[in-house]
Amino acid sequence: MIMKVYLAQIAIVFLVGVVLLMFLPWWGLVILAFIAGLLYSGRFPITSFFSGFIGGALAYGAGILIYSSEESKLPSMIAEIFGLNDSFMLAVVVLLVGGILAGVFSLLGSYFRQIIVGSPQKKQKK
Amino acid sequence: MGGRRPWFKFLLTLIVSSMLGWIMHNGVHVGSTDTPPLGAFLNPYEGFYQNCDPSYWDHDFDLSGLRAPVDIYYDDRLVPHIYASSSEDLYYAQGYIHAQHRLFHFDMVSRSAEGSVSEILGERTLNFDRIRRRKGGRVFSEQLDSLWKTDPKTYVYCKRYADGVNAYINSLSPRDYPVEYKLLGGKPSLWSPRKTALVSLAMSYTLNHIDDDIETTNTLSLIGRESFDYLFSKKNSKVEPVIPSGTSYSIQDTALIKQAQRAQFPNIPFNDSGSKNRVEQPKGIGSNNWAVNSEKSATGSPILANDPHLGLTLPSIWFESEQHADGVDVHGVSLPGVPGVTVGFNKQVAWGVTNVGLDVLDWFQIDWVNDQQTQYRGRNGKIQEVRLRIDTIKVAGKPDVLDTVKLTEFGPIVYTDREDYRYNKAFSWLTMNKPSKGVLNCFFKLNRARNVADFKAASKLYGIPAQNMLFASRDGDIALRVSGTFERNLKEEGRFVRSATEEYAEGYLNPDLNPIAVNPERGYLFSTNQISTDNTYPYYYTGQFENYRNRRANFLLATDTSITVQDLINMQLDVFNVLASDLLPILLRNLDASGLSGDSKKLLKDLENWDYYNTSDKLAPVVFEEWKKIFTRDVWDEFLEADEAKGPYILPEIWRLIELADSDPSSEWFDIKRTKTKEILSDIVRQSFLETVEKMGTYTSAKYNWGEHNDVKILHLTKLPAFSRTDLNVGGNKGILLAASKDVGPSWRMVVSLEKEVKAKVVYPGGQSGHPGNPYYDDMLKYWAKGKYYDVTLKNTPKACEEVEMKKITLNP
Repeated sequence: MIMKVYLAQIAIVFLVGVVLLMFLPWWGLVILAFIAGLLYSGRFPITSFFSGFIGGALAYGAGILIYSSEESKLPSMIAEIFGLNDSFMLAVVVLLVGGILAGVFSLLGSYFRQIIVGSPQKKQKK
Repeated sequence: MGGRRPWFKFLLTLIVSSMLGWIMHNGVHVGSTDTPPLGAFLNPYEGFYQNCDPSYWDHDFDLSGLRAPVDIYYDDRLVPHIYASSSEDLYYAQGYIHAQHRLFHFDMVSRSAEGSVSEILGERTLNFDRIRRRKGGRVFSEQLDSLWKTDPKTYVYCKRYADGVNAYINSLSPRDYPVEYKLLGGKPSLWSPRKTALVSLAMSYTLNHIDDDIETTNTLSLIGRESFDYLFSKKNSKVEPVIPSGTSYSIQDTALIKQAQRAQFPNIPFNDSGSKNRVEQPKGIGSNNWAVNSEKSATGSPILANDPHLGLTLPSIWFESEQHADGVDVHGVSLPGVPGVTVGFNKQVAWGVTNVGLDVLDWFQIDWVNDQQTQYRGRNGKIQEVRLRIDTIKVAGKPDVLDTVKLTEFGPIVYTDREDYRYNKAFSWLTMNKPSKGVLNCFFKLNRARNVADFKAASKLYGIPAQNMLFASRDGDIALRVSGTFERNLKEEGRFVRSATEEYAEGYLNPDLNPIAVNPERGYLFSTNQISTDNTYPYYYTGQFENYRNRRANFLLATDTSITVQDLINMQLDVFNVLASDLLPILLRNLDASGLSGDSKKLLKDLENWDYYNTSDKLAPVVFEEWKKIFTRDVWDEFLEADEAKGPYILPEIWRLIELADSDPSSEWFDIKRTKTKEILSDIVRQSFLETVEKMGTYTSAKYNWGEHNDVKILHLTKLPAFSRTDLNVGGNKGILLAASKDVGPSWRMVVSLEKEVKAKVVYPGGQSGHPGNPYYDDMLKYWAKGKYYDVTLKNTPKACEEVEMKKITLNP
């Protein structure tokens, strides 16, 4: 069950994220990750961070694949501006940013759910 | 108490996520720089990854402003060949294409001329903006805009160009903005003919903003009239002027001549302001052009060459295109932001420009009537009220800044800092005083010119900044006109700081009096920014004129009796150092070489064996350049070490120093004032050589050579190293035909052979795309650095473009 929610969260953040980001700015992913975080009903919201992280990184990764081009030297130039070795390192940073953004806001969503509906542990006690 | 923990974790996460969100939205401050807003910039769906797509031809465009479809064929250098059915549609398409490739570039050029850079870059450029505004950038552009409106055809072309630019801008969402906006902030602003006027103003700043009158005045006060004239007022007799010597000038402005004969010598007001903020004048901005007629040419057809030397930047200052519409078939380069072709050729003619270099910038000492400085004495002693203008400067992320500018009848007061040597003087600049209506129309007419009569008519329309316009036609004619607005001047008018009480001549010379040469007997014409005329020209002008390239060009053109395209290419790439060939023999002759050993002997040998060519792999040009610098500094100690409170000063030109060293080695000018002994030339030569040897020791690399020392580099407009190219090893120097040094050099090389089918060789240091990282961003740079050229013939039909498999896009109405 938990595993399913986990995979569903990743899939939502990744797939809906790709579509959403085509139309909305970066905070589209933030809102999406938050909503995906709300889905988590288990005892350990921290897993929500990881599913968000993976989904967000995947969504950004897809973006890199779609929009970067072998012919363009721009990513290596941007890497230089950011003090990074090469465009690969820059891509890693971009993936991390996508991951952390989606992860943190998924986590926030999950904690928010706990406050509103309470944690499953509590429910069992009642 | 379990209920508290989710709250606690929620709040903690909320704080972390808020901070994260804030950083993503605002960026962070690292060291002295701010990162762009990271969330948007790093998001692959809106940030820099969006700027990686290098293609422009994968789809057609629907543009409501066109009357008929326009076909555009891109060749393998991304040069668009535009086929439009009317000139209006042509310039619309040109605007659209310029915006596609160079939007950030010409937005910044127009902003810098106007003084509105801070709207993008924020507070750090506020002072720059303030000065440009005070000088009158915005007011100028509004005046020129309304002046152009009185010439409906020009204005329609300009308007259509702006419509094309705006059609592109309006099609963009923020994620399509050029990457520079994403990095720096801001967004592209809509274009208008007024902004085209600002691009012309930017060219005036580059070419026509020689600002040394205060320094000249100080120098005169320092050494007195006799010495001043001895060092500064002589003409360099070795120079071959733009208009060949012997051309006769009819005296038509007799009123000016009479007034000049009657006039008293201008009384020079003493300059009393300090020396801070001395601004180095840009050197090396200049250009070459030359043409040979059918008799001088090996092919029997005229050949014309032009290479304007301008600031080397990425993106390049030029954008190349070929344009076909009703009555126009032209190939060449344009300034992004300006419709039409500025330097190029068509089926019948070719033309090129070099800067004249007139001094048209004056400072007026203001005689204030009251302490509040609300009144001053104007011309004829009349008391005038100061007028005020309030400029509003937009600053990114900050409230607007209001700036009050004092206006006098001579011009605005630009510098209000007491420490500044230009403090409280009125700025008077021909560019602002006489906005030129005909500048654009001149080029529209040149694009469509068929013969020398058309050239004469077009070049007469030209205004500012004055240019040596060179022309050649398939008919066999060559012509060269010093085109542009000349002020009517009495002798030395405008050479020093001016005042309300001086005598002056009013108005501007009739354009018919601009000197012109057509088909001279010698069979060639050329200009290298040298002085325009010999001393038989009856009207006074002053400026900064080139002293060495002209001699080399004249020598090569005069001695070769059968000139080919390759000969003219070789001239553009020629690195013979005329200055060194004048100065070095004198230095060596006067050098007491006794007691030299080791390194110094080796360097001396290097110099003695040097053939005066500044090729990139040699060391001798480095030694010479360093020696010249130190020698010059030591000779002119009286200026460089003079009382700073009265400074800054100008130095005599190097050719005058060479004359002096050659003719009068024990002249008092060679004495170093601070020593008790009396030095003569040979003392300075020896001590400067020894210091040069020491200096050379600091260049440790074993392979150090002229290419490395000359250090030609091409910086992106943002100066970001990642977007710039510094790995070039290029010879030449300022004063050499291949005038490449540091960040100035040949910005467009063109050689056109006016045969039955016009052929050209071209190259420029950069690429057509202004987008960093694009394959066409700097693809021509390697060719340029190696002195190679691309072949161009006019493709006169879409079919010809299709035959060579150019990529096609269509702009649809």
